[in-house]
Amino acid sequence: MKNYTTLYNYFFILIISFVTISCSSNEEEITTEIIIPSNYEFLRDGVSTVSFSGQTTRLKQVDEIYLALNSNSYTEAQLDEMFTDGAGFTDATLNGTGKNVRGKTSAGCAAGSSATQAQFDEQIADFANNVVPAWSNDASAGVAGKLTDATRSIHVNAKGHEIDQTFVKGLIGGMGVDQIVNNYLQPCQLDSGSRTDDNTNGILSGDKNYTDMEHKWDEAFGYLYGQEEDAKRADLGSSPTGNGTTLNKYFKKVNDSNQPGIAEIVYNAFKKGRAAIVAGDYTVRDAQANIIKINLSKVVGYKAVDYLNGYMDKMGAGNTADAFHALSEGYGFVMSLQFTNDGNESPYFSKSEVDAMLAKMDDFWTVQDSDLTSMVGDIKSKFGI
Amino acid sequence: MGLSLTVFYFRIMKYLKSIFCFFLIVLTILACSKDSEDEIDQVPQFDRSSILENYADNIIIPRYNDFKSELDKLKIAVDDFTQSPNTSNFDQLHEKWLSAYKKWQYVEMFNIAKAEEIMYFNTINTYPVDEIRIKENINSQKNDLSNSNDWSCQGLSGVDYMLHGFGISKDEIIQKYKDDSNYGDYLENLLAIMTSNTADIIQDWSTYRNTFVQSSGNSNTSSLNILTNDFIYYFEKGLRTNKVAIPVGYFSGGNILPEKIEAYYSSKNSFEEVSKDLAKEALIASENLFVGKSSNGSTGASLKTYLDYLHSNDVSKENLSPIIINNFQKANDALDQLNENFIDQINTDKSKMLNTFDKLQAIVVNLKTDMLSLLSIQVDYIDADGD
Repeated sequence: MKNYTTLYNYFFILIISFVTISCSSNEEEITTEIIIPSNYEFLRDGVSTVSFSGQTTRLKQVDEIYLALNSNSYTEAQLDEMFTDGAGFTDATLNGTGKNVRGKTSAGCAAGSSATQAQFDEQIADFANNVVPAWSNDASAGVAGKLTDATRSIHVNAKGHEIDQTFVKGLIGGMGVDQIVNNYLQPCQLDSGSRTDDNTNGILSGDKNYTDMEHKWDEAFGYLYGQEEDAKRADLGSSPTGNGTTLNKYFKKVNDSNQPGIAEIVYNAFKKGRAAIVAGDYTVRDAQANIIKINLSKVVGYKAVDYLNGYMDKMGAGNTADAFHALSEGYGFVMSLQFTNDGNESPYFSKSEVDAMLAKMDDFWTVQDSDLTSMVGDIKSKFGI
Repeated sequence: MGLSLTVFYFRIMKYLKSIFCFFLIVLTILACSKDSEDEIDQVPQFDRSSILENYADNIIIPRYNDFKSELDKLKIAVDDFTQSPNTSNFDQLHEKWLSAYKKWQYVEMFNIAKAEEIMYFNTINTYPVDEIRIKENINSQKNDLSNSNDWSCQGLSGVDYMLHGFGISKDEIIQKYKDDSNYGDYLENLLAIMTSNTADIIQDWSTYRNTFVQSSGNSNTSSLNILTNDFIYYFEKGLRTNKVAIPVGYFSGGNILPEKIEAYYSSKNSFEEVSKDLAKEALIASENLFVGKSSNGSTGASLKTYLDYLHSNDVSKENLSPIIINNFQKANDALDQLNENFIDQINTDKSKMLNTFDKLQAIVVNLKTDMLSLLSIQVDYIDADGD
């Protein structure tokens, strides 16, 4: 049996070679072979062409906003300054970089919605104006304040939302996933203007060592891996650190439990797609982009399901604060669903579908398990998870 | 390429084998579930009640009594200080607070029976404290602290704030107590709650002890299962997460939160750097429970002797206890490397704190994954991963 298989394989390779050779000889253009490196490192004349420091900055800004939303010492103006202006951070290296989070929230070139941006603004306002003043009051239905059970203490708005969670989990889709799947991996970024020709002809971006197209792809990479201490290590694909409070953290969790191996799939697609750009093969590039779009979208799907279920389990155990915490995460991940991409340039759930779900779970004090259960079912079936 | 007869034969055999295996499994399940209900005791030879007896008589009850006697001394010191707020009474009070806090480390893990019912550990050691709410409680002379939001306003962590949180010098703080008797009243009330709850628990153990020891089976409601789960939950959450992981930023994307250390105010306002001492006591307490060591140094039946028994009966089973003891040593060494002042340690070099986390995490895996699997005990709580 084994020998037959081997022979068969040889034969197969032989046929493929013929096909390939006959195809290549027909083509006018000279296509370079796609060389996929063992790690995410690409060189031009021995110098790295990979850069995504702007993404690292934005992800760190989100981490600080998350902390600020866990504290009672910030005003609405201060929170807005961080979110909108990219200023006012404790870590001085995050200030005045020209980078901010809001400008990249629900701002993909392929989608984007100012109405959704406004939802994030409203959360900040609600937190600063209603939650902070009631920081140590007892929360109850319709009353903002503090909620404690045997597992944790949280500060919630009148509807029971823990806003650091709704906000940052919303940004995982609203900034992280959206910027990758609906922006930097999209032709409206990669191929904009003369970028395709420039890349094909090796014309670099200003005085940089990379082409614009290479850089756009790396910026997508940075929204996922920007807080890895060493994004060039060989095992980045199999073991993301989960550093930071945003996409990488949940990417790692999903890889550890829901779907082992998903991280490697995404990583390999990032590498192969980038190598395809170097080789000028845009068909392969776009195929890899699709793999990334679908799989990063699934991370959002998995976590939305986990946290909606988590809420019901925790309520069942009698831990209201822990349950509201989970539902706040779930709320944010449901918000994030509208920023997914199914590989055919549609989100798995549209904005109106997402808003309808959010409306059903709006008041945590009265939310119905039956509604959550049906959402869980819808999400699982859409994503096939 | 058609299938040869031989291949066909093997396929059929494989198929039949699968069916056979399936029936065997079904039969096994049926046979087991019939006479054991929830009991899944694989090693009836080992007398679990011997561990329970040693734990109850030589560790849990004596440790509660140790804590109670320190708490009683603390109460006297509080009485003295509130009657005469002066430097020497303050020093005495600080010293008794620390002694009681150290003894507390030996009982926090026993969240069982009465302690669980009254949320004892939440009322004694919830931190960070809620400064705003404590101030409001003091001003409104609030005595009823039973609302769960008041857990962060009382206990030994509450006393830390009451003693060290209102100023950066003794004089400044003493003055508060001189100027406003509500401060002293609040402090007195914190001690009244702690001593009363502790007395209730000790009283309860006098009768609960026999129930505890006799529940020697292996179901989710058996004593050893509950106690072992409580112990591991404590080690994971109370020790690893609260004392180390949260302050060093492990659960906040690397953003450090030094204000969330245990006994924060004593370090912050330079009274005494005690957080490391408390963490070390907690680690010793955990190892002592594992090896069955009582406060007078003698050892008896324990999770360790249980593991050793399993290994000696079946050497194919992992010899786990030497690994765990070695990892306790490593965690202790890692703690020794830390600055007495955790705030400084976290601010200046968090890598040593993260190293301590790693060493504690290794023990969590040993206990929660390896040990529970060998003992056939199920985890009864959801991961305390803090996110």
